[in-house]
Amino acid sequence: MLKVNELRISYGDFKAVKGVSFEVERGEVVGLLGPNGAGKSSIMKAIMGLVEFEGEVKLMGKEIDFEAKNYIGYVPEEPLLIENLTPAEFFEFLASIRGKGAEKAVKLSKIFELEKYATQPIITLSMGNRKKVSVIAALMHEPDFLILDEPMNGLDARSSRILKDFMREHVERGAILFSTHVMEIAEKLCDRVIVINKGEIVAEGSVEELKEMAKMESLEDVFLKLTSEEGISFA
Amino acid sequence: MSFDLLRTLPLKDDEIAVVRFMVLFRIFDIPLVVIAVFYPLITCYFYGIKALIPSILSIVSLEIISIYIAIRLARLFYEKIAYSTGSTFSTILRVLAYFLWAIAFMGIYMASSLVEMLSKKNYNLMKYDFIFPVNYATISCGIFDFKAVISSAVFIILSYLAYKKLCSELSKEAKIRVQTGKMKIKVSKPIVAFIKKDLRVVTRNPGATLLIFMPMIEAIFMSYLNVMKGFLIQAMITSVVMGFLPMVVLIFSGMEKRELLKTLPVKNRTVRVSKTVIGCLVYLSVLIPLIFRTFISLALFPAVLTMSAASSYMAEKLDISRNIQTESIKAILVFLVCYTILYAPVICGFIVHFLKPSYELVAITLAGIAELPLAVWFLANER
Repeated sequence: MLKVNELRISYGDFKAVKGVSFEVERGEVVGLLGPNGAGKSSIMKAIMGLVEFEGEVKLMGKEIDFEAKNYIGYVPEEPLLIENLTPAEFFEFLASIRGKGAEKAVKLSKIFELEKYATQPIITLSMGNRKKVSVIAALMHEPDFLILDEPMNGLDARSSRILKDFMREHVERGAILFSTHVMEIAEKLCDRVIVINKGEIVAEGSVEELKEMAKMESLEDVFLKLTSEEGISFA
Repeated sequence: MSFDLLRTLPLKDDEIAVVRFMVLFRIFDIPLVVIAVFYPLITCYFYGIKALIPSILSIVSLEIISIYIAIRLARLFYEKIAYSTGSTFSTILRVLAYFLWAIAFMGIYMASSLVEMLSKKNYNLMKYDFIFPVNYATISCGIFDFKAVISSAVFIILSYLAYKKLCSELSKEAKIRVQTGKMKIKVSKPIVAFIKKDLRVVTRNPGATLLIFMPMIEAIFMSYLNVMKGFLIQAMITSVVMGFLPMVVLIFSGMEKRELLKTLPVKNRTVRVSKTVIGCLVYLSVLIPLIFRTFISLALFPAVLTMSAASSYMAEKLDISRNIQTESIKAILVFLVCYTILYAPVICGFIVHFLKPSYELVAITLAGIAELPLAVWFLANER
């Protein structure tokens, strides 16, 4: 469904991503794991066209143009919102641009318990509620492919559970690429994980495969070993 | 400025309030420094050294009372109006409220200017001692009498009370009224969605609202001044009124969150058309009062349309963000292009006026129409 080939991203002289290639198939949840500054968010931003890059990014065999964005839902690490609008106004704007998603936004607002803040400007909302707005904005048009950058950050336990359930449900008809620092979440949700360190893939496979390769009990131990200074790689 | 950091330090509420007051005072630093230095010097020059202390006291008391009024009104508007719901009625209410706010804040300066004007006409100010800031009662008349001293004392006490009240107000966080309402979503066409979004965002920002409505206010003011006689005067007044328009379109263009737009299935053209429509709508509000006085405003409509399209196109290509002060070189470039487009037909009108009077309107109209292909290029270009 998503094909990333030899992706390179530089910020001035700093090479943030150094020739990363991977694929995400329909029906798959792929986790991008890595320490801070490894290049996870940069990869996601490149897929969304938010940063300049070299290499190839294709969704369903086509380059990601403006039409393809109808099929993608993106939750950035820092919510991308219009803060002087209320959630209702923001969803109305998005639904009008995409031509769909109004009813789903109302439904999701109820599910995420955001309805009571519907007419309060986003700037006055707590971080958690802003994150909920960002999540609903990404899900409301029922996209096939979800790109979630640290989606659970800032969400309360109930909302995290709702989102996890939603992800499981979603993957039956689409695919998900998401990043997280929480290994337990990755272990429970991911069909496959890609571990990135210093802009390069150092391991890729199912959680069980990685544990077996590293001969370790938990994904956390595998992750710590892979991202340690010695620079071990199973890629 | 965020004061949360101060709250984590071993400082008393009173001390934090004083810091907040000083920060507020600093907002007005340039005019204050100018007034605090030059005003006492000028009054001393005219009334002698005895005017020094009263003039300094008058500045301090007047500023404190002004800031107090501004803060009280700001609290009222931000808590109850600026963050109100998104209905059309509340949007209109917000705009009206900002005008009232501006008038109320400037009122104290207007009153003091009025007093100065009256004193020059040798009115008997002593009858009205109590409504004038400290120095007018004592200095303008050139005498120190019992009533003047009492009125000055009243002003100083009032400003001291305002200062204390301000400090206690500033020690409390502003409370935004939490409004609960139902999630209602009314889907519209993308261009309309952009226009609605822009108007909602801008009416929650008092400064931007006033700037955007400035051309309209100016046009209403100008249209009722009985000076719009003859082509040259009409053209000059219309040109002055139009001077605000590039800034208006640039504000709306700079408001876009480009990163958010890149994640949405939206064409650049849609955004540009929406900004052009907004520019034209603002000009229509200018045109309505002016059209009864001069047809030049109508003849300039094609130039305004082209300018709006050019401004939105350049803002997008140069990636001008909301804070145009930090991108002044880019903004100057946009303004240069915009003013050239806007004033080229006016210059044509001036030239024709001197060569063949009474054909000026035709010249302006034709020059404006000649610019329209440029507007089409700016709007249709997908690069």
